[in-house]
Amino acid sequence: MNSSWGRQVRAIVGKELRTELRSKHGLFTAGLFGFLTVIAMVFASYAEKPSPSVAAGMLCVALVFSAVVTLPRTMIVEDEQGTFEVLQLLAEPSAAYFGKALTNCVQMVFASFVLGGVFIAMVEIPVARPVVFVLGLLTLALALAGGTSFCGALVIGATNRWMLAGVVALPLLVPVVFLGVIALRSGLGVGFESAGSESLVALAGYALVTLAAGPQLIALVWRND
Amino acid sequence: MISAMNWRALVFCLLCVSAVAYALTAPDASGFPEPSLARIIFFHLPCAFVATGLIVHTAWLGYRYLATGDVRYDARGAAATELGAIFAALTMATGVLFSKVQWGAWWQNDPRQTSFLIVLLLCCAGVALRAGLSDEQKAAKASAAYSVATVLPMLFLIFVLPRILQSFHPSDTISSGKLDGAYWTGVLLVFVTLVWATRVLYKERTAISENRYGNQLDPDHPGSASPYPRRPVAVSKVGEEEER
Repeated sequence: MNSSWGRQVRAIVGKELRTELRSKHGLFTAGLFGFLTVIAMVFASYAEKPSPSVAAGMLCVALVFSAVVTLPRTMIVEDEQGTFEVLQLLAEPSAAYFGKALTNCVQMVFASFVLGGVFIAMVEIPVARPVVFVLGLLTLALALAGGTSFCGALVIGATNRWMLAGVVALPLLVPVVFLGVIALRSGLGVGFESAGSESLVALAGYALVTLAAGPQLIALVWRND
Repeated sequence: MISAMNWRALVFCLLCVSAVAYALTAPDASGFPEPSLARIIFFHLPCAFVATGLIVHTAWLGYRYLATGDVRYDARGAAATELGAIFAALTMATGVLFSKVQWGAWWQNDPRQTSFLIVLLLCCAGVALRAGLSDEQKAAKASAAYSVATVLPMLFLIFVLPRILQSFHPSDTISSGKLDGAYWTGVLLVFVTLVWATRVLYKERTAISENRYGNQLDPDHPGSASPYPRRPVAVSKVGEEEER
């Protein structure tokens, strides 16, 4: 990473975080959407306590939909405001994308921990392996942010970009859901700890691959020939 | 005098007839609840092979397009994406039918069924992404990047996931000798026929895309001309506006 590229990434992250702190749009949307999903799930199963396996699945689904609904916004908003070309003039495409993806990671990690905490408190399930559970939430959030950012960047310029972002992101996130459920289930005490650890490694690998390969691919997509 | 094209059509027809005849006359598979209906495998397996091959081919074409900018790769990529989605849908349809007649339910929640459904959704998402972007160049680039990005998850879903979970779906039926060896011959015969049909469709679909690109297919400067397709433009006569 050269210093110019790093400066550009830092500038984009700073700009995105300042915009987010000013408008709080992403946090409010992700938080409200995720919170409503959690409430709906808890309400749907109020008569009986969900098993740790079901609870892990429910939490994972809530996080996935929260990510798909909110995270593409950081990319799409540039297109909607007409600032996408300006952004490309100010920073290299890979740096602009990576900065936005990092912002999405921060936002998603924050949303995951808040929603995870609220969900666990509401369904009253003890967390048998706190380290695995916390790491599961962290790696799941990073993997979701990596995958969703990539899809959000691809749909810039489409007429129905919000819907298209969800359509292309959801199938790509299914392996993440699968691994996330195993990791969170292990964190809640179901199955072997080794299965949870393997899923954590796989989730971290997915996050790493999407965050590392994303800027390279998006640079080719965004470049002006 | 029969032209080369007619020869090919004749051989293709013979292949189709022999594949159907072989499938109908092959012995029943004794290891299944409905031995006679195990013949669905003759069509199901080759469809899955062709779909997997097209998925990998699409990713390779996407990579080549992103690396070179040659619109020929995009034209081929568009054809491969659509054909991949069609064959994945055929695999899914025959699989669901097999599930119903052999195992008693259309849907078993089996890891192999579910993972292949996701592969089908990924293929459809690729088609949707291309259709969703009206700018040809953006659509080409986004589709190419998406096909490159999704190939690993797809291979994981096809080859890895069903093997690490307990699956109802057999993965080694033919290779382990549970089926009559004649089934291999039938599967190969249908596979060759499908590959032939796919090749013809692929060429036709690529030709349609290449026609759309028009003047960009200058062999000396691949992809160097205007990336935008030529569209009919309404032309008003000079001075017409002034007269009004």
